[in-house]
Amino acid sequence: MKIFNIKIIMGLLFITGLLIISFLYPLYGPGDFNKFYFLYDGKGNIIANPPLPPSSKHLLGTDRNGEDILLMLIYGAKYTILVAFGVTILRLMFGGVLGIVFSLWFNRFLPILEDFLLVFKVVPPIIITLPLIRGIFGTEKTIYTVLLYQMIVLAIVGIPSVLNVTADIINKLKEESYIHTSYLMGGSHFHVLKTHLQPHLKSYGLLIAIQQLINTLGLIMFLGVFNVYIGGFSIEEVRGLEIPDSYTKEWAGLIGQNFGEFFRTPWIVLAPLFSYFFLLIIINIIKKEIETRMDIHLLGFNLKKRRKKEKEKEKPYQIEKFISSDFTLQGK
Amino acid sequence: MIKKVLYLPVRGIAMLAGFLIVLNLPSLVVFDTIKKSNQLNFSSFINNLIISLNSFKKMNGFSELQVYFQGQAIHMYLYTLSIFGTSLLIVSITGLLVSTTVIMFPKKIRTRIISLTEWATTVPELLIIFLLEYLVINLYKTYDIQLFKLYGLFGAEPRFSPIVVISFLPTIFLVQLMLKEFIIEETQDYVVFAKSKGLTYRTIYFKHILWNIFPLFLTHVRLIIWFLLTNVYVMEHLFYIKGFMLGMMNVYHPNIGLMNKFQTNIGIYIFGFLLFAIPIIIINGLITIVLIFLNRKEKRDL
Repeated sequence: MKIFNIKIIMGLLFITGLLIISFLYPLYGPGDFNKFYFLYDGKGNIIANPPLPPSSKHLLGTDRNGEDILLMLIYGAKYTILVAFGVTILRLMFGGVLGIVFSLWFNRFLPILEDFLLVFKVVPPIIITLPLIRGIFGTEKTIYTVLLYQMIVLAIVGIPSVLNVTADIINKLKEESYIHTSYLMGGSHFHVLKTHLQPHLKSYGLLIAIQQLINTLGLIMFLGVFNVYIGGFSIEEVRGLEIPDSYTKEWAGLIGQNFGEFFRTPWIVLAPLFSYFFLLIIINIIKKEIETRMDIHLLGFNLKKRRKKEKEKEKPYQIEKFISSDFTLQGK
Repeated sequence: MIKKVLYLPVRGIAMLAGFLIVLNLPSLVVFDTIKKSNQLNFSSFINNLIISLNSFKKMNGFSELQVYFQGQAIHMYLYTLSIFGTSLLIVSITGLLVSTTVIMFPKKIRTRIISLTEWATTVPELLIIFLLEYLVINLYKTYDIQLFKLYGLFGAEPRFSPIVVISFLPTIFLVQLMLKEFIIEETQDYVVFAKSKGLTYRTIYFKHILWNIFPLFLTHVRLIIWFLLTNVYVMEHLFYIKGFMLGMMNVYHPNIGLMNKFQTNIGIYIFGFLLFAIPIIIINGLITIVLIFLNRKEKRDL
């Protein structure tokens, strides 16, 4: 099987571990992330007020509302990861199925469909997403409806590109001779799909899924900059500034709401930024490993041929000894 | 030929329908505050579609458009275009230069640089912006050297910092794509033949491979334009630059409460949109013309 590679397993384990820790947070973590207004010393005197830099008590520091950043990151991880995965699955389901249906059964209507979806090709996704996703305002009680609406909008924005890629792949595969033969021998579209196209679509589909995951994470990060947080705002604003506070504490929202803090209190924005970067790196490692395992022409060489050459090198040619040490001829 | 010409109106209608439906999608979903759920509101959606179509026919809001253009609009539009155009030139030229330089290095260093570019493309944009802002402001604070203007407040029009930030990641992405194309091209038969005949590496790369790769380079530049536009939009928001994007969004989306105004002015919204799409269309057209002129490798398995 393709997936049994140490790097892919480690990457998936890390993401799963993060999800589990995030889901179990209500069992061990404080609900208000250790929010405080003032820091008192032993005698009741005020010595500091938030935001506090990283210290032994607050490993990554606190933000302006006094909430511990590490706890917020753990709490918000599940929203970031699950929303990204959910949007990817939606895009792949609808875009992939539509692409297959239109390229096999309704091939004549495919150009019209591509013209209809020209908006998504010409305009970058952030510009389309912003007005659509701002159409709803949510509060703490309506978080799941807001989440659903945002996921639907993010999925709609990405479906046309998945559709186009799937249709391109199928149209390219249809030019192969064995598929022509299959049709000539009376095979239906469904038979060709099930027997011939399915293995190709499985491998390409996995790659497209990971690429869409990376695109979704990037899009959500840009949305955070425009103060559009996944899950909506909380009632309390960021103390001292008139910026809405993210309710779900998902990572892109934390980056976006605190981006202006980079000079006065850089730790507030550095922690979520580097965590996001780390998540992207892990997903990219998984993508690279899957690409090399699928033997796609990456860097112009074929991995299978390379491995065969390396195996052949391991067996050096051994000179058979015809003469013994005292110079007498010996037979085999 | 005649079939294609007759087919054009159908394509035009399909494109227009796509635009209108996407722009009216927010009115499809209604947020019911009492029931606290999402509902699909088809009747108001179809109503809004008809209103938009009518406004497109009557060209509503034409006077507002005139007022908009008599003001700062053309200046802002040219400002954005100058940033975008300069970034595109810088990305293309730097990408080409860096990739041709790197390909001449020995193989070990080359593979290391290729893996480095693959990691570099995973860096999120915001990290680059963050580092640049931090560097400039720290330098100003400690040594009183203002490297360049960062923000567009108080009438300032920074050019250098937006161009640097917008061009950084797309250049690395273009270098990565070009290096991959070079390496795939190296496995071709004519390169092996040229090497066996004793041609120098410089001749092979710059006289033969580069010119065979050039059409693919132009195809990749088309892809880069998309990234550049996204970056321009985010940059204008982050650095408070008064460019065309911000201005357009403010005129046509001033407030959610004014959605009715937005629906009735769909004609001018599409017009503003077209202005925004003009550089893309021109550049795409130029690239297509050059590709037809070169007449080589127009279609390649991507």
